Amino acid sequence: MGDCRAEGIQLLAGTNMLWLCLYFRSLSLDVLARGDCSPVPRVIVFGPETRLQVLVPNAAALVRGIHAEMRLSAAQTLVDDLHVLTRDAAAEQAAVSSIAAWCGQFTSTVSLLSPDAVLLEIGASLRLFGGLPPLRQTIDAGITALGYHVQTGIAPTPLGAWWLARANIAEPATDREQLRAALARVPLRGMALKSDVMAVLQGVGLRTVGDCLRLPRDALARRCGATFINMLDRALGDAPDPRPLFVLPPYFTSRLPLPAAVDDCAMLLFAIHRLVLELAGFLQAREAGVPGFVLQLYHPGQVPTTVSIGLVSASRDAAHLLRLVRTKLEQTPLPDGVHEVALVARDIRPLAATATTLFDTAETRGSDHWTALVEQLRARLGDNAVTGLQLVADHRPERAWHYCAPGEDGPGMSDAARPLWLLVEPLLLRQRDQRPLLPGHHGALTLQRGPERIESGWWDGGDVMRDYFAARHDDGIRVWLFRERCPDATGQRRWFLHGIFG
Amino acid sequence: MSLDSLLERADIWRGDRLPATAGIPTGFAALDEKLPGGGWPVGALTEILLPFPGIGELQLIMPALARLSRKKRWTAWIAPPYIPYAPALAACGVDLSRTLIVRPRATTDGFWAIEQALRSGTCAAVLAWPVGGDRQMWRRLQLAAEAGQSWGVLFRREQDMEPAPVALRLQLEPLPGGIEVHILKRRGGWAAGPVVLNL
Repeated sequence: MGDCRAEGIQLLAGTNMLWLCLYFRSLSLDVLARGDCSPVPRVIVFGPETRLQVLVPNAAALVRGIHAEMRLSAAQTLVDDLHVLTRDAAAEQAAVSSIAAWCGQFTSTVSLLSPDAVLLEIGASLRLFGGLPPLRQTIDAGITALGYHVQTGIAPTPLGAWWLARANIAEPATDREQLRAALARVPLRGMALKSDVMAVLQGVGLRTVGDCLRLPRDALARRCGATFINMLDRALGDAPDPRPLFVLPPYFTSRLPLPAAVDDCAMLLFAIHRLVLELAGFLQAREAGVPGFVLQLYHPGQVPTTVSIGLVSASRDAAHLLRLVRTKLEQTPLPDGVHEVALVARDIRPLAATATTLFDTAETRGSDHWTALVEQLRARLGDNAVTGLQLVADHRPERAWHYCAPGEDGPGMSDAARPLWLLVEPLLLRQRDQRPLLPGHHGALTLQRGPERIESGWWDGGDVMRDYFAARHDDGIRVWLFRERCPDATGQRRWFLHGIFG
Repeated sequence: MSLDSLLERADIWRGDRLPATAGIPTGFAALDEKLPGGGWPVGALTEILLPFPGIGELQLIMPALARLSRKKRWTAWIAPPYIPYAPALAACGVDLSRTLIVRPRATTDGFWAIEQALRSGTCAAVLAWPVGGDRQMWRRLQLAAEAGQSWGVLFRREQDMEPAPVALRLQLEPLPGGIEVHILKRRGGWAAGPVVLNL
């Protein structure tokens, strides 16, 4: 029966519950192949080394005539370049947990049912998502985007939903009458029975759940045991079936093995896209965002490359996070052959549900989304290349401002007499007859305003003693100059260009 | 309400003007009169040609930046030739907490940054000092400005002239006490005679 490892609270089966079961028929293949978009014929194999059998073929292998339980040697005669992968049970278990965490965005009641199935109680979510068909479509599309093949079943009981999913009966059974009718069509293998019980049922010629239900209860109990009868009762809703609640992990981590080593940024992004979607669903479930996350790229025989993505403010917008990753990866030199990617986000911060404003104007959009632009620019240009400006309370012109984090402001004073452009360093000017000359411009400078005396900074060693002037050149350029108050070693008072009025 | 402020309104249409989407008023009535939309074009590029920086090109745009600041809109400065000086900007009414300074190292990064800023929809104004550039690049920037409904301003030296396909092209000439603005190109109208602005 269901392997419910997750610790947690036992849920009582309520009367008005509706369960959606996600059954991953090709989980062992999807886990290893979802990072690759190429249609290579590929199989997962199992069994002893000398008698390997195909467990799951992918679509490309199926069309070439390969089917489950075929001997690997036979499959390889059909397809020369068959890509053979060995099952990774630990990766499958991690994948089902990640999917369960992702499902938390649709309901608070998620349960692990078996190593390849996840249960969601959706009765309480129908209204929020606009009814059953839209909700189901959203979930199906989301799971597909994560790279998994899924069959869903919908029923008022957990086992009922699971069996319908396994039998690939897509019509939802929303009440117990519908459920009984739908289950009657489920073949015995849809019940995931132990092999001895299966043998007994097949021995008496039963093929479907419906065949079992037509037999007298006590006769069936004698042949198959009370456990089997109880299972039927739970599936039909005649007996309670409490389920352990899946508990969301405290932080996000997910790994994605790549079936073939990847050197190409586009192919890497395809895989990372899946991880980012997982992260976004996880965050949605927690009503949280991340202020950053780390990608680890694994290369054979080398230390993993770590790529850190930093944000100005926490976000869970998958498209935005992926844009940042793309920009960052374009700047990151990658060693050859990435064979696995992991995404880790440990710092999870509360983030209110996205509120859609009534007036979605350019004004409100602009103020809400400025952090996204800053993050995008910083991902490529570096943090120091993208800044804000602030005033600083200091009389020295070069210290009356500072680059700061965008969006901040400082306590300094505005000054209308100052130029709009400041030079990074004051530029020493040549002079003729004690009058300054502007480099690159012929003709004379006419002093228009000044002197404005600025003496400050003797306390911190950065002292200045200057007389500032506004001047206009014959060419039309207006500049801001100062003359040092103390003569230099040659006895001359030097002139400097410090700003341009612009 | 004065006549001027009435005429600034987007829902007032004057018969003697070509219909155009409302621009950002420049703060200079003589200039607004000659610009389609009554101001700087939104969702398009404006090219400002200069003999050299420092003749009043920033003072020309300051009233518009102050107006955008009052609405809490963002302005991006991309690859400015000098440091935009905070005390003077604040004195002009620019909200520094809505000002973004981007200093890319490489020319290609500069064009990329201009495009991102224009396209994002965050920045009401994107001021840029591009170096080089070809027709394809100008076209990309024009489309980005449309997508982000941004006012993109390209400050260029006259000698860099590979003309960019822009909605508005101005050439500035210094005068004692001001500048002379030549409108070389504008949407839906002929080039117009110079406007003299006292700064």
